[in-house]
Amino acid sequence: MDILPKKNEEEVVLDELACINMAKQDPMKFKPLYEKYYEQIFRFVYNRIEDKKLAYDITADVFYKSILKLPTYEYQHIPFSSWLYRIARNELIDIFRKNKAVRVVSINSLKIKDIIDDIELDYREEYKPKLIQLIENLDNDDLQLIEMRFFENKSFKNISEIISTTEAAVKMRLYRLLKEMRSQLIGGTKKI
Amino acid sequence: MKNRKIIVDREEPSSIDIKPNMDFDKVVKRVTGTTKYNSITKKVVSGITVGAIIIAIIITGIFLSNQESKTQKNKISISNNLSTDKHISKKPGQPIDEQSDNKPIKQDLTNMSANATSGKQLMTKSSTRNPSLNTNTYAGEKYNSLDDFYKKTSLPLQLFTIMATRDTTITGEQGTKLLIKANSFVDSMNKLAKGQITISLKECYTLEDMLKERLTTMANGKILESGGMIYIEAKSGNEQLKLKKFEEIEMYNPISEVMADTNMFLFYGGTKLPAENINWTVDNYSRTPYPIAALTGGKYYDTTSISYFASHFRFAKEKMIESLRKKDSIEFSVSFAELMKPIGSTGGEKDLLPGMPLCEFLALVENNYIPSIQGATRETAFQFKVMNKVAYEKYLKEYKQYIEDKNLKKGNFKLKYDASDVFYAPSRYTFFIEKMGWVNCDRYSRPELRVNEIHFTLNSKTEENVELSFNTNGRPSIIKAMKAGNTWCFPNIPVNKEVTVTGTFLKDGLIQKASKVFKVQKKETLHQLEYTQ
Repeated sequence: MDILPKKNEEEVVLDELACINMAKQDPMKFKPLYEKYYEQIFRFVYNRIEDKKLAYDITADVFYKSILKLPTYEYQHIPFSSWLYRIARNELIDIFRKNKAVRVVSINSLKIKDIIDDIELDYREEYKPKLIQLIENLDNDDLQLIEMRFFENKSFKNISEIISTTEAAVKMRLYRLLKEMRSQLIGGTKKI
Repeated sequence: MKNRKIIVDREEPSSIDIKPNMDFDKVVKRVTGTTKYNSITKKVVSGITVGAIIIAIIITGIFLSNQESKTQKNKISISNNLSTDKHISKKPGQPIDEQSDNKPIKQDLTNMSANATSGKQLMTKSSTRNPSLNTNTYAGEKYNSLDDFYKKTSLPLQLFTIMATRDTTITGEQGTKLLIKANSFVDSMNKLAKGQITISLKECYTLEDMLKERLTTMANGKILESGGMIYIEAKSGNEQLKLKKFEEIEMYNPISEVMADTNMFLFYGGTKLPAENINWTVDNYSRTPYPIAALTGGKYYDTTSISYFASHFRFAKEKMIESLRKKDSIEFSVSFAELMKPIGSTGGEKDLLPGMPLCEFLALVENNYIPSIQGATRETAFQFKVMNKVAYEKYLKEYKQYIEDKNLKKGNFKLKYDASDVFYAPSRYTFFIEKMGWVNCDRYSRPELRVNEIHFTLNSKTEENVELSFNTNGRPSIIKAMKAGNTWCFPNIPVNKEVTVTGTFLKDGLIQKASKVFKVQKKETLHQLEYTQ
């Protein structure tokens, strides 16, 4: 059986760019990218929305807008997926701002241990509800950092591309945030 | 308290379960416009609501101003002002006034603020909130299609006949200067063109001319600000000619200093069909750099740095540069010319330090010698000839020998050496064209922090062309609308920019135009573009 050689990152980007350029002329050519990224974008939306049907609608809107804006897309060493995530993020911000849906924070309890590890504390069961409460009260920017880093396993680079900042800035912000959360967990009541 | 809901260990749908509620085809249909969808409907509803509010404000304005005008006995024709603000229709058979077609909106707004003294405040508010709308019917001639209209009203070609074997300078009606060197053109078989060549030229330096040619200013989705576009074509008889490889036409762009910028590039568009949008291709070598800041007797040299051109010299012979580097001394001469007419020269000898890049060496020489030349203007070009000392001595020896052998007068011939070359530094307003067809001198529009999408509906069900334009320091940008369902969309338009949307319609063979001027808002509503008969 022939095994096709796996494409390296550069080849994947080139393939995507070729597809994007074709789709700029003919939106039907966007289909491979739609199929490739639909699930990722849907999960990203669904993690923040309770209603599954609404999550599907929002995902459809994200792809509709991405096709509409495609002529303005230009590759600047940022993956196409990050561009889609940005559109999805903006769409969600708009939905929440207009109070069309309740903001959901989907917490994976296994990942809570990872956060506590990163906070440099030994895991104790009592920390778990405290930490969940802290996450619930985080401001939007900090919350999305925690979500993307711990619950969605995104790299710092990926996060920086989605929220349009530098990797160093993301690391610094998360470091400060975790430090603050640590003092909250040990100290108790002070709100972030 | 934040309005959030925490869900711990939520059941995640499996990949198989994730099925889009909308097929890809339906998403595309939303874009291309066969399916009606909620957001547009909502925008229409919000558009109607805003429209109703604006109409109410205008009616109140009319009522108040009428009341006031009665008391002041000041006859003000508000209804006339309103009609100019809303709709202008030319009577059938009335000749088209070029000026009023080009600048109809500004004229209307000026009239309005000048006449409506008593209702000034209200009227000004409504003029900024409610974009002015203007429609014109082109009287007289009937057209088969929009293409037919644009073809008949496009700019005429300016024709020039030149000799293929002679250096020629062509000056267009609007001031474009083209310096065409001898033997620059080849035919489709790459055979050198001989005899008479006809050069066709079109010059578009104003928004109106660009719109007449249906030109847009987009390059790979980026908005450009145009410093002028020209169309250039060369023919020998009926045969289309192209530029020989490595040959370029030097173009002097007559744009003002305000419009010129340090980041202007040359973009190529080739030939285009009337309805076709050009996706301009940038020539990265053509970027206009900062001018030389050399002051001599209070004069500022508004020209390009030679060292810049040396470092960007696209046809530099590597071997020649290497041979120059090997020697410890370089002879050089700098000559100055305006449109090929020499205005002065200087020269000397300088050491090239080991490891010093050639462009740095040239910058050193340039800074020491160029300020000594008087009288340079924005059209001044520098020709910089460099030669290594050994080659120069050999050149002089052979030169003398040749003159003696042939009994020639000095200066009647040129000897070519591999170890010498000429670096040419044109003025900041000069570009080198290496492709025929549409050529555009533009800069990329500065990325704005806030951009918005603008949606329009049309009441026309005829053939139409909808464009949006704005200008930055006199440099026009033109964007063609994308059709999305029943609306027309312009994505990524900078917020707070004053834009003009122009629609050209063809109905029953007659051309009608409607335009709207407004400031792009942070929260955009659905606009309407209507024409009246």
